[in-house]
Amino acid sequence: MSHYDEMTCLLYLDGQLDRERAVELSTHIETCAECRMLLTALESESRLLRGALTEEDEPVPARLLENAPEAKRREAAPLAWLATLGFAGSGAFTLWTWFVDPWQQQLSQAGFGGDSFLAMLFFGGVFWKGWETMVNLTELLAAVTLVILAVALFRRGWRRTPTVAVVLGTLACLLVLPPAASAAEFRKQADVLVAADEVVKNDLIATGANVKIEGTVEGDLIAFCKNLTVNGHVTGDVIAFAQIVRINGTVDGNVRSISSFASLSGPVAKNVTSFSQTFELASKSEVAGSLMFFAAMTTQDGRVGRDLIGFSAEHQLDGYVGGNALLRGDRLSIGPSAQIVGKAKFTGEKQPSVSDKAKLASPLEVVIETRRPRYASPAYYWRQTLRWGTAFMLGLVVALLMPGFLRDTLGEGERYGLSLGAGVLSLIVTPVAAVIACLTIIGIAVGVLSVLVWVAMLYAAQVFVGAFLGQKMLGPADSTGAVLGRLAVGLLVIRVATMLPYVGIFVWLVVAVFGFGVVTLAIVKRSREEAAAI
Amino acid sequence: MEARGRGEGSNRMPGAEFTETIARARSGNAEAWGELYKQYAPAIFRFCRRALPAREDAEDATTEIFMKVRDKLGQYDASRPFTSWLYKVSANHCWDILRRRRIRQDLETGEVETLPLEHPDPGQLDQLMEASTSLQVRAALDKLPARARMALVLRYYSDMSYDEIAGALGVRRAFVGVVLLRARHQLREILTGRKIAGTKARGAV
Repeated sequence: MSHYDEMTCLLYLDGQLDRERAVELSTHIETCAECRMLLTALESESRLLRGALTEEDEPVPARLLENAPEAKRREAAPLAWLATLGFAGSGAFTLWTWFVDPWQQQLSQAGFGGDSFLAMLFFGGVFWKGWETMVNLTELLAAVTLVILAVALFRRGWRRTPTVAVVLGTLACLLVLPPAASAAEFRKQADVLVAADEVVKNDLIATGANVKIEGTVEGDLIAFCKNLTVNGHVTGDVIAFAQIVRINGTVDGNVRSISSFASLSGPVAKNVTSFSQTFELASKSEVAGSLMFFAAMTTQDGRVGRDLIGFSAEHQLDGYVGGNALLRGDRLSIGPSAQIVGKAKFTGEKQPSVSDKAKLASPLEVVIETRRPRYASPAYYWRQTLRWGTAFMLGLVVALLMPGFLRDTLGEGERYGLSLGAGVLSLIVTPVAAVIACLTIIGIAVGVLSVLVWVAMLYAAQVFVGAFLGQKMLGPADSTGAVLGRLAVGLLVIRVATMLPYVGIFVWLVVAVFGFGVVTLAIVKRSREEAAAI
Repeated sequence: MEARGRGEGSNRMPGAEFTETIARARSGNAEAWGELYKQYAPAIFRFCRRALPAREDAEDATTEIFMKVRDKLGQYDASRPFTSWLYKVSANHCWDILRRRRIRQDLETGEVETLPLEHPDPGQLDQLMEASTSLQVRAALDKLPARARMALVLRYYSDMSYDEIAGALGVRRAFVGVVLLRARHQLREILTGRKIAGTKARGAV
């Protein structure tokens, strides 16, 4: 006689066989020892499983027994939300009163007319003196909190494309609309040439290897190219993203340039802003407004009607400055033909050389700065402590608002190699992608936004790495309090490590890369989960 | 046997009183809700602890499950046992968590339909069961693929019926037995692997 198979026996034990078969089987086992044994064995397996599963081998965590959770989110953790809203509110207020408002005032004083937020962001922000205080604690925290709050609020709707489109679209309008009200002429070819007798009666956006303006542009000139040469006349502003920028002609508006080499030898009726490796203001050039520059090397022979504000590793000043000169860098040399009508101040590493023949309205004020951290001064340690505190507060917000996400990043941290790889990738790719996005005009909002997020992430990286380190040192946490304790310890280790001479910068880099990596991986994982769940 | 998951709650509170507690909790009475929570939280935590890989996951899941329960208490059909509804919500929640993690941990290592049909030697099986401790079984359970472990937990911790298990795992009713038996086979493999081979510990995936 054949035996019953294991499946049937299991179904019999679980009462899943229909009546007829069950009776059949029970009759069979009365005579078949083997099937009876199988049933007994299966039953004892069930018993073993049940026992193993229901045995109370570990206590229920006290945290769980404390309070019954309320319905989803509605009343959950109102304190965290209140705190965050408070932070966000004060952050917004701080941002406005400390940053945006003074910017606008300062910029309009400097002849920049606050035409659009974007212009301010790009052309004003970098030169604003208050940047140093930006690194100052609570403000930054508040700003980051603001971003996190926005993310948390939009997280639900984020998946839906229309929401994203509306948000980004609104941002784009906000950022770009005011100055770009009129339509521009767009030229794209290998060599863009506006001939000597040609007049472009509109704003001109030109991209190509070489852009040459011999004629007249009655409006703004915006150029993305390798070489930009302006020999003609531009009645509006010149905005240039180019490797080499030469402006020999006349510009009635402002000149803003991001380039490797920039040279000006014509008159500019308003202001000049330049980010470049080498910047040259030739003797024939006359800038009626103010000049601001960021450069490795600067030579200045021409005239600047108003203030001169510059960051340059090496600066050779031989020209005329109608206002104040505010300079920062390694070396400064003021030649015999230089003249500064207003006050002059230099902050840098080396004593500047000033020619006896130079005409300065008042003696050059010099501040020599050493860049080394001052290990001997208590203020240094106080500042480090404050930084640790700020990072911890940010971590607190993250741990309270996104505990799941924080845990995800901890999990991803276990895969060191992958995390570091992903970190390097996103650390490099994000700014590159942002620059590319910016090149397409419409993508500017996205580009600027992603750069802002990138910067915030650079700061927030330490929180995730800190939490990970803490966990590695003290073992897995079983409550929010324990998570925070581990975070505090981890952040302390990072802070101390980055204070070390020479090694510090390397530690900082590793932290940034690793932090970027775990966050990227966690985000990727989340988005894939979302996709899988749909 | 006395600590069976499902029995834990309903045995403690007399029927009428219990129904009243649920009704009060439903109408938003915080005290009644607290009572319900205190009574069932341990069982649900243990359930999550068995179903999910990490302790922290289990803690969070417990909280989340009760948030859901509080939210959905109105949908509970009072004519059916509260615990079975509670376990249904919990099972769905945990399975959802596991399902979302599928990317990294394979939930199944093959088709449900394929079953290792080698008939076990009843004697050997019985010996294995005699020799295995709860601790070993739990360790082996941790190594099982998610679906197999989940199925065993639903059946032997929560005492769910085949129908309920089918609903929770999203498999056809007819395959629940197959899933359970397969899980047992995998568990035995791990247990014997450890016992007989000793050095050669076999992973589940």
